[in-house]
This record gives sequence, C-alpha cells and structure tokens, in this order.
Amino acid sequence: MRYTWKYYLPLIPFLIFAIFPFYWVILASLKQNMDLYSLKGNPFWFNASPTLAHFHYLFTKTMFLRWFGNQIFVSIFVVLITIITSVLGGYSLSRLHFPGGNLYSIGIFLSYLVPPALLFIPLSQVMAMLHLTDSLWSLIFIYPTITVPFSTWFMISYFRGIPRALDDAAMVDGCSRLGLIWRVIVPLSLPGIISVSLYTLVMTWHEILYVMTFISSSALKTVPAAAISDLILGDVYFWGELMSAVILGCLPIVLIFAFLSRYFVAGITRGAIK
Amino acid sequence: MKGLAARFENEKGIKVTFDFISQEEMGRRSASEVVSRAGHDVVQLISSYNPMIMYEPHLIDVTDIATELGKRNGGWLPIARDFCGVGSKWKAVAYSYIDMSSCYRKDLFEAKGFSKPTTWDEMLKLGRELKKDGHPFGIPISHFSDSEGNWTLILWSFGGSYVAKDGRTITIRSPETVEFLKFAKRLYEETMTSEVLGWDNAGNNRFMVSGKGSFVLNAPSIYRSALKDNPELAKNIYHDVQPTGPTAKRYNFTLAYSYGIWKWAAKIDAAKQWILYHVDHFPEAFNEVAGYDYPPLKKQADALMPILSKNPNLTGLQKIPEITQTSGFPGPLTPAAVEVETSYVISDLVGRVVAGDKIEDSIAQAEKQLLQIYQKHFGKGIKVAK
Repeated sequence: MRYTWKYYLPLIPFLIFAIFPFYWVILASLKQNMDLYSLKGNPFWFNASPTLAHFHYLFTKTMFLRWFGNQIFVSIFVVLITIITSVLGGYSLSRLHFPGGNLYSIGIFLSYLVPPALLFIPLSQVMAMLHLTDSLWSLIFIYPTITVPFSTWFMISYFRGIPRALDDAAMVDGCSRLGLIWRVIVPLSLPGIISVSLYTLVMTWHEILYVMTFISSSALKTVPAAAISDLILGDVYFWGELMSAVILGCLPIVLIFAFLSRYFVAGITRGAIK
Repeated sequence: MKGLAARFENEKGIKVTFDFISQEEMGRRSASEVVSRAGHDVVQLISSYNPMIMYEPHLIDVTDIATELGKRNGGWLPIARDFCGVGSKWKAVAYSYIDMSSCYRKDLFEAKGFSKPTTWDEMLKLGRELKKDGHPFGIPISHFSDSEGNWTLILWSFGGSYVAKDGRTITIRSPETVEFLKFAKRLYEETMTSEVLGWDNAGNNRFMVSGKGSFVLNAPSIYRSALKDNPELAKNIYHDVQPTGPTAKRYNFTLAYSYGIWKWAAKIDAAKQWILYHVDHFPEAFNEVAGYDYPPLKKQADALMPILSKNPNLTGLQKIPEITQTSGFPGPLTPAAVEVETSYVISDLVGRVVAGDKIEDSIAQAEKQLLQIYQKHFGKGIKVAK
C-alpha cells in the first residue's frame, strides 16, 4: 500500500497538540529575557538572537547536576523495588490460590486509589520515626507505595495471560518455584515488566509532593521540586531557567520512551486482556 | 543570606544550615513538621502561607529575644506585635513586611497629565484612556495572595471592612462595600482585560515587565525584575503609595515575614542567637531589598528611608509604614482574619460581581462565608452589623 500525504492529514491536529508544548518550552529556554517578556514581534519565534544563558545559569549557578543525579538515584532504586515486588506479588496472586487472595488483590487496587495528598501528613510521622526526613531514602521508601499497587495489579493480569501448562512443564522438569519465575515467567513477561518499569520511572520522575514535604536541603532535591524552590523566588519566576530545567529534566524519559515504546505498547495491550 | 550565615559561623562558632522552600509550599511543610515534630529548628512564618497565629501552639516563647532586639533598635512598630504577639508573649520575631504599592508607568501617566496615582476616581478615568492606548491596568481576581491583598486595601480605602474593630462583628454588608463593588466592576470593565482572572502572583510582574501594563498594585519585585531584564523599561517603572478612596484615606495591605522556633527544636539557644544575629544585620541587605522589605524595628525603619529617598523610582514608598494594615483591619489580626485572607473571600466577592452577579446577592454570600469562618474560631457570639 502506498502512503500519500493524505494519510498523514488526520495526524496534524494531534501533532500540534502533542508537540507544541515542547516547542514552546524549547523556544522559551533559548530566548533572551527581554524577548521572553516582550509582546512585540512574533511570539512563536525569536525576536532577538537566541541564547544559552539560561542553560549556563542552570549549570553554573544552581545544583542542577546534583538534582539530576538525585533523581536518577531515586528512580533506579524505586524501579528495582517495584519490579521485584510486583513480579513476586503478581505471580503469587495470579497462580497460588491461597485463602483471601482475591480480597488481597482488590485491596491492592483500592490502595492505589488513595490520593498521595491525603497521605503526606501521616507519612511525615512515619518518616520522622524512621529518622528518614531530609534523606533520599525517604523517597525510595515512599514511592513504591504509589507504584507497587498498580504494577502488581498490572502484573496479575499479565501473568494470567501466560498458560499454566508452562509452569507445570517447568516444575515437572525439576524447576523450583523461584526458578520457574526467573527462567520461564520473567522472560515471557518482559514486555509487561518493561511497561511496569516505564510506568514507575515516569511516576517517580515527575513526583513532587513528597520531595517538597520530606526533603529540605536543596542538594537533596530532585529536578522538578528544586526547579520550583530554587528558580521561583517569591513572585519572580526565572522563566528561561525553568524551561531549560524542564527540557533537561524530561530528556531521559523521552530517550527511554523513544527506544522502548514498542515494548511498552506491547506490554500495556497484553496486560489489558486476560 | 549565605554570606551572613558564614560570618555568624565564624563569629559564634555555630553552624547554620538553611533551606530554600518556596512560599507556596511553606504551609504544607510546616504542617508536616508539626505532625512529625521533626525538621528545622527555626521556621520562617509568612502571613498568608504559614502564619504564626496558626502555628502558635507549637512555637516557643521568644519574648526574651524580641525584647532585646526592641531595646537596641528603638522599639518595635505596632505591626510587629500584630504578627508576632500572643497575649503578653512574643511567639515569633518579625524582621520584614512588604507592600502592595502602586506600581505604574511614569511615562504613560505623564503623557496623560498625571505624575503619579492619586485617587481611585481619577485612576478610573486615566485607566480608561490608557486601556484604549493598549496599556490596561491589572489587578488580579484570583485565588492568590496578591488578589486578596489588592482588593482588600481598595475596600478599606472606600471605608469598608469585613469585620469591626472588636474583631467579632461582621461588617461586610454596608453602603461602603456596595460603593466599593460598583467601583471594582467599573475598574475591571473599563481599565482591565480578562487576563487578570487567570493571574497567579507572578501575573502582574509579567504584565508590567512586558511593557503592556500601566498600573498594578505590587511590591517592587517588578521594578527589580525590570532592572535585570529590561533596564530601559525599568527607568519608567515607578512605585508609590496606593490611591486614596472616597474617604481620602489610603492603605497598604501587608504580608509579614518572621522567625519562630519550634518547641521540639534541638538547639534552642543557637536558634535564638541566629535570629538575633540575622535581624540585627538585616539593614545590610537594604540596598537589595529597599522598597520590598520594610523592617518593623524603629531604628532600622529610619535607616531604610534615606535609601528609598535616593531612588526616584521608589522614593514615594517612604510613607508605606504609616498606611500599612493587616488582615482583619480595623480589628485585630486573628486566626479568623487569616482564614478570611487565605480563603480569598474578598477576591471571590469581587469575582462574583464582575462576573455579573447582583451586588446584594454577592455580599450576602460573602457575609455567610465570613460568619462561618468567625463562628468556627470564636463560637456563636459573632454579631452581624446591619
């Protein structure tokens, strides 16, 4: 089938909708302050020469690299904890029919529905008791409470799509339960695990409420929270620097999705059906 | 701040660690620290965000350092006591309060024969002409502190208020409020554009620094941003006291910044020493903060005036201390008054009227809200002035 330009027409509104915010952010990050505020000229293009001053400010006058490193550090741990917990939890709830299993899976789903804004006050007490306030470990401890319920629920659905006969065959061949999960179930569930990882990464990457609540030191903040606390002073917004932080902050997610999106789509669609 | 902390460490041998938290986040952070009884030793208390009066049970008595600071600085202005006093005690130490002054484009005003903002009546006429020229006025009508402060100070200048001097009688239903609302509707329709309905606290800054706006009510963060981003424009951005209303009076609505020490602070003595040091040395920052921060200590306030007088763009602000009032005026600053401010009762009242609701209905709704808030804090003994 030969695709002509007409086939792409329906995509145009979507492309404008999806790409325009990125275009605007990139434009703003490269505009001089005077150009940013000016209402004269074309707002959709440069009216003065572009500048890298905002990026320069970010790297030389703020702890941006530190914030970025914090975000990566927290994300890696949270993704690992979420994958391990949700794979083990999802497998046991989908395969091992123990009493109360169904209630337990419904409970997991219900816990996913509790908004984080309701939890930050009681969690403050928990963090203080554990002496984890103002520590990245508080985030590593808390974020899985947001990501594990959905991920486990997702993995339950995913595992239910894998024929039980494979479990039986592996166990007849002498595989232990953990060996079965590691050698058979995990390889077959890779698209689902990648989906869960990406979901967890995105949730962790953009989370801001708990960072604002539990982290005080600028050096321990992640990019979204630090951008708000360090690049907005009272009613003065450092727009160019904020936009630069947005671009650099979302770059890893964009790159990861660019390479893994087909797995994500495969995983999401597979997990959606039984 | 960093430099001051380094000097303090050298002189006193006490290490200071401070964290920058955006003021919008201060309420959530303070609530979290109160619940967990952990976190910082010293907390910055900002009226409108985490006001002292709401956190007072969790703060230690700092009357000793407040008295010491007062003694060596010629005493405190009454506003410090309003924001930091609880009975005979001081539960916080104020070091600054801000203005919501007239910020205007002098070149545009002069082109129409005005040298500076005068009365609200004249401002309406001027604003109408400037809007036609593409330079509207802008006073936010939204759920942000600028909006609530801006409209409340205009209400006061019309002789209106939402509570009486006793702090227990709701007074929003009055001929003065009706006149204020009629004026607010005209001011919105004839001098502004609908963008003010979507402004956050940075809206008026963008509006003026873009060169579009001709008049807003805001602290000189606008002037200072313009100095950095658009120096040519900054030459024509002036700040002065607010216009007078039909009462021939003008008011400034203020937010105050103070320091308190949590009851569970690990190092209370060190915290007190740091507060003393910081407040004592606040005048060193006057060149950077002049016109934005006003010290509530008399000697410091006197020291600020020559700095303001040297800058023609800010010189009119020397009268700000004389006209500054807090939430709840003409009554005291109470938890109920703070809740009115943080619930945006006056902004919503204005918002309903400019949206086309009847003035009488809008006032009745505001009165109901005020009654609920005041009864929640003071019980059933709240009266409504008829």
